[in-house]
Amino acid sequence: MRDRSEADFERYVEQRSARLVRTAYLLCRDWATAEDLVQTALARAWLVWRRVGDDPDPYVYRILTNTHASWWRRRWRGEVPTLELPERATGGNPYADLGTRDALRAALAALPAKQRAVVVLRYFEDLSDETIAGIVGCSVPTVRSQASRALAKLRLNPAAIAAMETGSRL
Amino acid sequence: MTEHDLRELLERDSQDGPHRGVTVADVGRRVRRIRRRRVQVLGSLTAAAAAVVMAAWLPSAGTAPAPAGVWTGELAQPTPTRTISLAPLHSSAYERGGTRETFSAVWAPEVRKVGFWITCEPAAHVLIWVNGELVDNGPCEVGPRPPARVAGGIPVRAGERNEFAVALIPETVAGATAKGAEWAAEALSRTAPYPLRWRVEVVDDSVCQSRHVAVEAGSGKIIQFDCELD
Repeated sequence: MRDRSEADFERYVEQRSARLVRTAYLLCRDWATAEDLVQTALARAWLVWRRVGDDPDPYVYRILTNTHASWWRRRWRGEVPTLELPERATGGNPYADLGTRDALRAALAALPAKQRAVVVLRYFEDLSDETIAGIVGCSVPTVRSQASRALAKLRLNPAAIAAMETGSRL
Repeated sequence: MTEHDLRELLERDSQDGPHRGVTVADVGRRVRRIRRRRVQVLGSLTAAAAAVVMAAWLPSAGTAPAPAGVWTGELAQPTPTRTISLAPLHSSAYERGGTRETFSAVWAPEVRKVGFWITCEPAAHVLIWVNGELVDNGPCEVGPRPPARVAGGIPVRAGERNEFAVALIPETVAGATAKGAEWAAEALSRTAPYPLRWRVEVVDDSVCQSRHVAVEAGSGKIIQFDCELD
């Protein structure tokens, strides 16, 4: 007979993995990396599954955001500086050749990792500020200030302004 | 952009990806990978710990008086101490016993005393000469650390060339009692060269009140030598 926790875990993976991959994608903007992140987060959750409790989501989200942050930092440290900057294909507005949605994606991607995590958990996962604070590892007021800063940045972003001017509703 | 716009963007943006999702089998493979990695890390940590633990196994700091010239290995200090880390002055490895292995060196004038850490086999007896004088003579000691002969506080000629010689002979030839320079020379002459792996490390022991040594497991190479000044 199979262990009950094993069956619980399998059910959790089946029910939640698709949504987790979408969340991970919004964090990292790459589908392959998103799947990798979710596999790692779920694998780590399984290793402590008995201690995770009845609601594994906060724990899994915490591993997801922490793993993403650590991978991001590692990639940044691994960058190789070049002597010459590559030639820009377009001058002026860097969003000119992008569609509105692509430009907004780029704007979201430009947010600092913590702000992006707060935005994704708040506006995509609809988690409470208290839960987000536990996941990201900061206070509730910090979550609120990070969210409002992120929104302010997006409102000032040329792509967001263009979207509003053209009346595009994404 | 409103919060509503943002929710819509996030919802739509993450809908149309080419992702196939994550299966339980994928997660199972990742779990095995993480476990393998943890085992590897544990292995590395164990090796590192083995090396560092040896530091605490310097000749016993017990109540018995330490023989002259032998490091006491006193690690506990009643007050905070000033510690400096020193690189070994000399190190070399050998593959035969029964022969007098020599080396010489000129070090900075500050080096007035040296210490020897000789990694050897338990059945060996170690003889150390400095400038022709037998300064240490005793068995390769077996303790909680890997077998070694440790001798410290040995004076050298500051700022001048010093000649060193070390020889290992079988314990069966040496016998149980400590003997003098003539006996050492005679015992060595009676010993034919034989295969034996050993290593000698020399450290600056001029100002150390106590020492903390980390030795690489296996090779006996000193990876850290901390000298406490107070």
